[in-house]
Amino acid sequence: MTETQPRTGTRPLDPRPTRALIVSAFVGPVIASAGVVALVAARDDLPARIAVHWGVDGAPDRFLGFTGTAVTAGLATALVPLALVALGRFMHRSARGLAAALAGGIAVLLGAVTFGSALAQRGSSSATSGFPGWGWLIAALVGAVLVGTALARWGRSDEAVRPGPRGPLPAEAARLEVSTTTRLAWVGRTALPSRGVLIVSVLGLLAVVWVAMSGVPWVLVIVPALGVLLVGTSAARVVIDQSGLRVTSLGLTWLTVALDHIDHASVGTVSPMREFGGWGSRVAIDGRRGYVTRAGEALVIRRIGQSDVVVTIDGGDEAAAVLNTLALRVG
Amino acid sequence: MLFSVDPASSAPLHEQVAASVRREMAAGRLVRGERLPSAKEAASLLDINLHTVLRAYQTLRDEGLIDLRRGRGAVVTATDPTGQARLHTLVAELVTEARRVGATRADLTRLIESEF
Repeated sequence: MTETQPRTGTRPLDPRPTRALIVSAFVGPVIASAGVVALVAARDDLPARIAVHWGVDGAPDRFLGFTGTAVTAGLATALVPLALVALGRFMHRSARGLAAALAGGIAVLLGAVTFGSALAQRGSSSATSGFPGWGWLIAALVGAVLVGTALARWGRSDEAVRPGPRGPLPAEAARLEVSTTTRLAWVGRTALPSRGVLIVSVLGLLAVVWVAMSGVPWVLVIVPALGVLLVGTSAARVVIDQSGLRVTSLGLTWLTVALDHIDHASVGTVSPMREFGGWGSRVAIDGRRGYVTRAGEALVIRRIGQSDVVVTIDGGDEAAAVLNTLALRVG
Repeated sequence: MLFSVDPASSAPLHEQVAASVRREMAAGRLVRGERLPSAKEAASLLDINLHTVLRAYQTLRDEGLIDLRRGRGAVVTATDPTGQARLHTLVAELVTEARRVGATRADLTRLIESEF
């Protein structure tokens, strides 16, 4: 794998990702505190045994007293997001906005679900009926998406402006011997191994069937949607043209690199699990962006003053040569 | 696959698009059953007219290298795309060279027949 440390640019470091991460650290504890206050205020109306978990059939199967409920909900809401913030602290600056979004969103989700489901049991002597907090659950999902999106947008590194000037193309960088008037376009594909897609499909289908047979048959309606999602995201199109590199699937653009942001492109090797923690559209702890679908050969794009971009494709040497040739023209 | 066209070249653009596809086949990067980018996408990427790409694809279809089907786009159908594409590329280069040295069609035909 090529070295990943980006060159130092002339623009000062963008402080927003770190600020977003710091703010996200307060979201969980604040919600947890508010939730505990709300629980204490509603204590007299809550049943002695508060349901805290429901089975797939909707019946409660685990109960706690008031103190246990408040402590469990408070700790989960405060500490799980804080753990994500701590992880984000060790991530590359450009990836901290994403960590902040996850921490904030999960804090809202956990707080609304844990405290909400308990507060929804007000006025009942015991929780023996179905899950009472559907309203809270929907509010939790909406709130988590809103908070997560807001933090992600705030903490997003400004990558539209090139951080510094382009240096000369390294002598070893591949390029095409074509005239400057030649228009080039490279089209490729990056796809998950079919065996992996099959295994995930079978495991997912078994899980859905198990839930359906446990008394929730309507869950089967999501199978076609999951199938489309899996097939649509298991492979992506990689395009290089006069505007740069794009990775797209299902009509969504997962990754873009503008030509004027490219220092040079080369071929390296990548291990999705070890370097990116998984497959698909990823951000590594060291800030590298990647669309990685398998181990092995990958196109590695060194950006000017920013972290590298990695895309697993066959024919990466030709793609790198096209990118270098086009990048040289934009200066 | 790599498309490469030079508007400043004397070669027509549709021939350059067809040559790009043949080059990929000859190099073994486009195999039987593989789908080419749609004519619309290729035209957009190269910033050329859609009909230029369609004409190139029709040429490749007439050469037996690809099949054009509504809804499926252009698919490589040649049983030996590498060999056939290489042959077409060599013939195209041969004709270009013959023109350059002033040889007529009859001269070239005679030369080929004498080699067979």
